[in-house]
Amino acid sequence: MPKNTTETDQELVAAAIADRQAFSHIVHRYEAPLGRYVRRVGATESDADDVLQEVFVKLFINLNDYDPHLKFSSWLYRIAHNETVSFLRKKNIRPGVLTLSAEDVDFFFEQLADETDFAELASRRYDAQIVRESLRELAPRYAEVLTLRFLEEKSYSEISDILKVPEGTVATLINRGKQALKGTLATRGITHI
Amino acid sequence: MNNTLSKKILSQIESGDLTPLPRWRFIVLHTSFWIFAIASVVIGAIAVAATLFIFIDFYRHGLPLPPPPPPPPMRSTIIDFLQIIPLVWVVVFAVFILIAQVSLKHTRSGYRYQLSSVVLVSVVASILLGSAFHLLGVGRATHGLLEQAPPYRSMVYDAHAAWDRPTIGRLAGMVVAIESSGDFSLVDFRGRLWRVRVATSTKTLLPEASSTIRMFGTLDPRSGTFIAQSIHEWER
Repeated sequence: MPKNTTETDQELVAAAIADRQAFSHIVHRYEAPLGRYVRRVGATESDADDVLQEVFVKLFINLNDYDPHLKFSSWLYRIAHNETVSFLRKKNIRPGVLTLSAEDVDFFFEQLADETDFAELASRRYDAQIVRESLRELAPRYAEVLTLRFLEEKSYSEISDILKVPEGTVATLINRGKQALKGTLATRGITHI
Repeated sequence: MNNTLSKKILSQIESGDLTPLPRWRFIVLHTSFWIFAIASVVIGAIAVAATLFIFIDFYRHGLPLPPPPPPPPMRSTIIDFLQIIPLVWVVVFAVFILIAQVSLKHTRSGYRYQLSSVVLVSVVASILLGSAFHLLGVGRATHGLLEQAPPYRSMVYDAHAAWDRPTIGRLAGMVVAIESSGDFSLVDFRGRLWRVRVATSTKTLLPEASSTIRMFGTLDPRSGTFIAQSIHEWER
């Protein structure tokens, strides 16, 4: 079974509909990024594989629902997002709480550096634990858009497709999320923003 | 890259003999949201058409030209306007606009549009379609059909009831017999027989037998005769 393929997502979908073995190509292509994503939005290391398995099984069952007008990865992230949120709710865990590694935190602020009002913050090195705690305090609706924008590097249009909200709402949530993050960082003495 | 996850997934798919759900199921699902949305806009449009008909019907029969003699038999004020707003149709319109909005949101790309835009488009579409329906007589037909049901009649302006008020100078019905003097007999919409005397000052329409008319005038309480001050054709 080839681990890499040059076929497009759409071709892989068509192949998987015809032959379930071909579905493994889709799994190979997306298991790593989706695994990171479900962990970031709150699944523990031990739960992540279970969530991911459910995501891919759900994807397989719904392959015929794929709309080629939509980016395949956006559709897949949407399924992963919904499945993770549902899984966390079943376990009475607040969804949308960012679970970030130290590398994630660094990467997050590198991405934020592009935003002028966070440039100074990004240039400094703060205690990753403090920053993580600040991020964890964000309301889920802000955490999920900030994750998608600054960690998954998704465009506004992709985030709109993943969360099924208008692009204008995505922009509003990102701006409010950044303000909320500034607020939580300020309560921990980080005010050079 | 390890193949463990891929194997587990394929194993689950094979052991459960899972297959992708057929495309037609998704087509039916997505089409049904559009059908709900379109049907809701159409029902909203029927509500608009019926409302337009009720308003136009009221002003056609409520504001005679030339103005009736005093005392004014019908107020043509904002209060009249507010009183004849058919709340039942306003509620139907609002409910179906809401259903249209929810249905549109559930279509494949409905989430991309702001709530306000979706509501605005649904409202404008219903009003435009409703105006077209009104011109085609859909409002009249719907109102006429539902008028048979007493609960509906009690909820909307009823032209028959509005012209069944002889004590305050309004009476309508069908002319059944005309005397040589010009006075005539009329059966109102409830089937009661009235003797009508045409006042000498009346310069408006003189009725023909079997025609349906509406009149402003006064009721002579002693004889029970209605004295017509102005007579108008009943236009429906």
